[in-house]
Amino acid sequence: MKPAAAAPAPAATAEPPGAFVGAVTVQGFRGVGPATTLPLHAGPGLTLVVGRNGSGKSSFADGLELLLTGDNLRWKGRPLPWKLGWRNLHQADTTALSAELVVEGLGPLTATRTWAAGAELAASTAEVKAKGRAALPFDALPWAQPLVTFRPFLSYNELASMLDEGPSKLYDALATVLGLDEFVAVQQRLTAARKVIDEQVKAVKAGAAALALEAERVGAAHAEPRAVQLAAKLKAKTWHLADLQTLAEGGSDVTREVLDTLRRLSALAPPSLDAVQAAVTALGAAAEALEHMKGTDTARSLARMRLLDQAVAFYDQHVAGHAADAGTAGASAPSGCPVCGSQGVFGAEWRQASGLEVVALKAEAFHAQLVETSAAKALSDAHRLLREAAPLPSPTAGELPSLRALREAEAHWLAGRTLQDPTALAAHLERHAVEVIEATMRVAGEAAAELARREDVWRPLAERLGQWLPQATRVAAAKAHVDALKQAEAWWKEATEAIRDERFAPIAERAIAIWRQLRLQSNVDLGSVGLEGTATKRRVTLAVTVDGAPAEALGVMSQGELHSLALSLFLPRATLPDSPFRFICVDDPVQSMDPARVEGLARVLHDTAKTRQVIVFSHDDRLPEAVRRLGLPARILRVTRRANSLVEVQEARDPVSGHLDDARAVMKTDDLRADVKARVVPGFCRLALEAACVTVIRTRRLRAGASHDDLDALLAEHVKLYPLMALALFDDAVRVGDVLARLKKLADRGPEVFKACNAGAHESFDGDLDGLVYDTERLATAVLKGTK
Amino acid sequence: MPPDTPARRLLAEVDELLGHASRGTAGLWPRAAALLTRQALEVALATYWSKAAPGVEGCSRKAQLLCLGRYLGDEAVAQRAHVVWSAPSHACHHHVYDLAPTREELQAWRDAVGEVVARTERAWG
Repeated sequence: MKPAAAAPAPAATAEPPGAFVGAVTVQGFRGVGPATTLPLHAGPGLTLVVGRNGSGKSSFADGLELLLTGDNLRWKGRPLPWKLGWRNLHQADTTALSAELVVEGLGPLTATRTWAAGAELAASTAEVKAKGRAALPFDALPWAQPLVTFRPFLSYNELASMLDEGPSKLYDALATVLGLDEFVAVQQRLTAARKVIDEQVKAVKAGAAALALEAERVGAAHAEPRAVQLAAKLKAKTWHLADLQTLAEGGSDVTREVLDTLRRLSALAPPSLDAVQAAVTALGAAAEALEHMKGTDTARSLARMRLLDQAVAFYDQHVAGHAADAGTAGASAPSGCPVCGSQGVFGAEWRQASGLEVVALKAEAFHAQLVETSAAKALSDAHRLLREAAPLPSPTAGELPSLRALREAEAHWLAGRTLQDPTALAAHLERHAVEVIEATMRVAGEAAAELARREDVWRPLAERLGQWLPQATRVAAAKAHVDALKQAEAWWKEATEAIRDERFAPIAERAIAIWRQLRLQSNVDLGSVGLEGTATKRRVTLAVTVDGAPAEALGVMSQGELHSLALSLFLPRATLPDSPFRFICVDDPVQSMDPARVEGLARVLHDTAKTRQVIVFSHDDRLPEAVRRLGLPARILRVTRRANSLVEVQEARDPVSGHLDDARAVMKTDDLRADVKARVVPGFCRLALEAACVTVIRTRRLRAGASHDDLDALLAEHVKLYPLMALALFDDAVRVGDVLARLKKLADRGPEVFKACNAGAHESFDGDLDGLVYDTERLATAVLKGTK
Repeated sequence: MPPDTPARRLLAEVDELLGHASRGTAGLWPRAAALLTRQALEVALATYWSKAAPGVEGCSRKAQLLCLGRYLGDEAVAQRAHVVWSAPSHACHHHVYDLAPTREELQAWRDAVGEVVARTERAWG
């Protein structure tokens, strides 16, 4: 089963309209008092903003970040004093930040953020305004998320801490740009769905275990077969829910038998005592009557009766009628007996007497018949009672003990079937009736009790089973689901990781490329960068080797290398095409770099500046020096802070031109007295010459392959102008004596200018200052050129 | 009322540069102040030597500073003089990586030089 709806593709891969930063103006914020502008050019290129710590340069970096984000990561989580010092000491009432932003396709916008006097840091008003339109709140720009994801502000401290914060934090920081949120969301949903089912399965299993335990206990304690069965079925590896259902409803055949037996037994009806009593009485009466009858010879009487009856009938038919016919009145002479022929008996007298006798005999016979019939009835009634004893189940092992007794009693009882004698039968009945009745009732009672007990024992289990079964059935249905979900999860995870790796690959490549440029002589190499793992195990893998042997990145790298590494990882992120920011603001990347690495950095920044606006803040001149020496195009802005937090921003040219410009500015200004000018101008001129010499020396030696350290040592050793010039002209600090001669060839008044500059730095120059400056420039230019 | 000596006049100029942010000296004021501060020290020392031990001012700066302690009878001041001479000097030369000194640094140097100036002026008697 695949997920029903695949996650939609990430939002447009085309680059969103990009924003460049024009002039940034800061007022009353941190080191900057009166409003000061950093004149940036809104377009690709490298700008270096240079100033000592405390000069106010960081105020511009922080100010730009605060302006755009409404927050400053540097201060987040810092103690209160940090946050309290955000306003400028000399100008605490009005704090305002503004920047010109040039957005491709939209044109220039001005963004401002202002604070009222006394307002908290968080209580600012931010607006953005296009020319000729009304101002909008700053949030109208859809930059809140991109500012976090692409973070165009790279600061030294932040980058260094990135690597310390833990593998998953680093992972998150790099992965946010990959647009994987939706993938992760789907993954989470799949996992959640599966977990829900897992929970249900667990619950059902737990329920089954508990129920089985209980059933087992009950089954063992009460010998209740249903409970035992239940326990067995629940303990089985797979549950047959149909069987369990049957069990819940009444149990299997085996148990049904037992229960039916019990039911039958409980329904046993003993012979009614009244009936027995009646039978006994009837039998007694019958026996008595029969006893009476014993004295009479019933058969003979019966036969005699029949005979007489027939004789009477004969007489009536054949004799009496005949006599009548004869018409003899009177005493007809009795005819002869039809049987024996004896005369004189078979007459009317005899008839009368015999008639009476027949009647009497008939009555007797009738009575006898009656007695016999009732005796037979009594017997059959009694036998019926005997027969009515209920059939008992065949003996089984676990049967009720009273059942055995009943069996015996019935055996006795039934033995009476063979008896025909009423008296004996009555006695038998009397003797055994009570026994049977009692035994039957005992059995019935016991059976009923047993049934009830079993029910009591079983009912709770049955109820629980009844509750558990529907859950189990649902879960059984869902289980099939789980397998599908697991498959989906695994597949989705793989797919997500593949896409993640794919999207991360270009970033990783760039990171490695940048690292290669930065590492220079370091023997630490970065082979690959990858994102690995999910959930709590996510991390960034850095395949670092030291002299070819694999090593743990964070363990082998120096501070400077770690910083370079962080820069390598986050510079690509900040310059992704998806970012709406076409600028990056790098704060003090040079801090712990040695001069060789500074060159690498200069090149990296230069490469980035081909398509992006790169603004770098630095507290010394190392980066500008490298940039100049390598001939990389860059704009250099110098920031200095004077009294009352007045910050000056000046575009710096190369040092030679810079010093000469200063000299000329001194000449021009009205703010210095003439004698002061005479003291100061030569000093600047000397600076210019020194700069020219140093430039020449460095360029020559570095091109020849000297190390930065050796070079720096050399220049630290020779500070004075003469040795410097010797080095510049002859590459030999010893040839100081030849300097002036050479200078003569290089430029007009070369030696004079040289000497004047050298001396004038210490004392007042009483010549033509303008001329000095002019001549210095020519000499410096000649020195610079002369060695190309 | 402190005497109006050349050294003090130079220090007054430094105070002006540091305390008053005039447009005309924008950008150049740190090095100008450093130059003036060092020159104030040099002038003060030169004046002192001319009064206390003529000829010493022609010696190397190092030698002068070494002697100063003995002559003044105050090693501490000499130490400070040494520091406050080398630091601005550093700023008065072109060093590849260094930027101009900050106002705070210049103020500290100026104050230290002021101390040396006062001390040597007192020693004139």
